[in-house]
Amino acid sequence: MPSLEETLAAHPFLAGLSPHHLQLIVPCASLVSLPADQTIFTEGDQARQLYLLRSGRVALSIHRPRRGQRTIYTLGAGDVLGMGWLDLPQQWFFDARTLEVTRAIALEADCLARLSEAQPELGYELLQRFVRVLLGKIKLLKLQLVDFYGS
Amino acid sequence: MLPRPFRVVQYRRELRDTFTLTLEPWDGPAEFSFRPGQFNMLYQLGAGEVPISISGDPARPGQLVHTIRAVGNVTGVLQRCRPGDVIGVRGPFGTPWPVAELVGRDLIILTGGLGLAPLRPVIYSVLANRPAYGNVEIIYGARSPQDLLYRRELERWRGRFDLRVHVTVDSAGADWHGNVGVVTTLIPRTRIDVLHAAALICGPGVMMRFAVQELMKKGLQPRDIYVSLERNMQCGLGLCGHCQLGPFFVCKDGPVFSYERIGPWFEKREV
Repeated sequence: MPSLEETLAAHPFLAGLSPHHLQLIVPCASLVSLPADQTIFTEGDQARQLYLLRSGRVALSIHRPRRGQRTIYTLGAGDVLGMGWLDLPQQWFFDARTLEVTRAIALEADCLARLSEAQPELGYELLQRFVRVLLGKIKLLKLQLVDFYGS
Repeated sequence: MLPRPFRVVQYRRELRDTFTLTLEPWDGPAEFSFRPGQFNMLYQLGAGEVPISISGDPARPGQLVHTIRAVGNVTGVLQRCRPGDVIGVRGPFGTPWPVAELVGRDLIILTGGLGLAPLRPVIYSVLANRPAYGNVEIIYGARSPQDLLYRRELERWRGRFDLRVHVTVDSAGADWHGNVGVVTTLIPRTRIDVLHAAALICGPGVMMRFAVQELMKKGLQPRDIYVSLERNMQCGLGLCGHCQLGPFFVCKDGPVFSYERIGPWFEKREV
């Protein structure tokens, strides 16, 4: 069975990080297994964790009054879930729910933030990775707005 | 080349604006051979002619199957056709998907919206000769779950152990348990050997452009990517020039091109 450090290193978000930096992150991390159809977080709740998905699928949705939930995006293995804590007021923007049994690495946001303050080199490295994820998401959402199939 | 009369033997409503016509020769049973990716010009007296991809099974040449979206005058008239009506058919025209040439390789069949119709004959052909190919993955995107074409067939293909089918929609209600997001997000999830794989793409132009980028990021070479283009095709013979794209006439030199050949023109905003 791989160690937590090895599991962290195997996730695309942390791939290539130095062993020293991975060791620093280990105390912030825990492995979680979530059953299908479980709410992970709800819009407006305090955002305290980041999830690096290892398997399964998660739906991000938004609640529309009188019209129910609308799924706007699904995430799978290798994806990063939950960056609401990066900005004030550190709340979730969407609802997140598992579509199937999902395994993930949960990272405590406060722990990561403290670590980044204390170790600026690691903080910069993580920030670069967050920016890459966010830019990728912006690009995909722009493509969704294009309405491919109506063109 | 004169249109040949065909009788409508089945009308099937697929989606709100999309339907499938099954046709047989008006003058008695006869074979109408075609290769996956080719198209016919369908003619309705008094309305005009439109190019429509053949979406049926090449192994059943006795019947012609066309899935059509009603977007204009001629397709609107075709939408009102019912069994017994007669329409004119010219064809088949155009270059086919290189199904036989790709034997032995992994395949990504990537499509969006109505683009599944011209690729369905490829899927039938590959499944009829399944052991001859490596891993085969179908990636299909639509606007919403209600806009998924050939839904029953997708479910049947999904149930096969020798085929991976990925479906995604742009947005969905809570009752949808599938993927949500643009079709290109599914490309990294495919399990293919990029050195021995080929991709066949058909769908809206914007989708194909970004799909090609993502496939090349995965490691596929331009020579291993095939696209089917849609243009204003009128004569079907490369004579009228309406479908010209740079040095090519899409009706005659296409609609299926290798990306290596069409790439420089594919990226042009206006030609």
